[in-house]
Amino acid sequence: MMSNLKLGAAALALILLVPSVARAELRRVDLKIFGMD
Amino acid sequence: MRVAVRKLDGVESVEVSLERASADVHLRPENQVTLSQLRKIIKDNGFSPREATVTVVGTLVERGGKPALSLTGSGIVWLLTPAEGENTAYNDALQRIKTAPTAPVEVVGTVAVLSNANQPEELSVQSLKPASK
Repeated sequence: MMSNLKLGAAALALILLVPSVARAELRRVDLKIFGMD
Repeated sequence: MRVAVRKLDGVESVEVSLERASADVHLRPENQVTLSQLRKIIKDNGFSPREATVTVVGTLVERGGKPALSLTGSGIVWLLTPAEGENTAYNDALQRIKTAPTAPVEVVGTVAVLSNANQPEELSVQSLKPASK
């Protein structure tokens, strides 16, 4: 239980301290659509 | 459809072009929008989503000896493949996995629609660079 809490706290700290880890995401999507042409 | 996409949290702008038969979606930093969400909206509006050209930031990982891009936080992993006639970015990904595996990268590439939903999605890499701060 305690180790889970420590692990969670460590993961949270990592995310807060290393913004690049949490920054992964889509920036732009150009989606082709069938049925519009 | 444009309105529905705009309602997603993290969407900055949407441009739907009848001429190009496409929806160009720009997203804000820190967004949680997924390609699946966008495809679902297209389907719910009676259209069929096709391939998507994406600009995405993630971390390079290895999956079964092949390079892949992990979108940290979402659990999504796309296998990387070289784009037709463009091996440079793919080779760069292979190199970076060995030299700087934790550094985030910005990748531009194409994700095709899979016929089998259980298959892992593939991102055909057109360009790759270190992610901007």
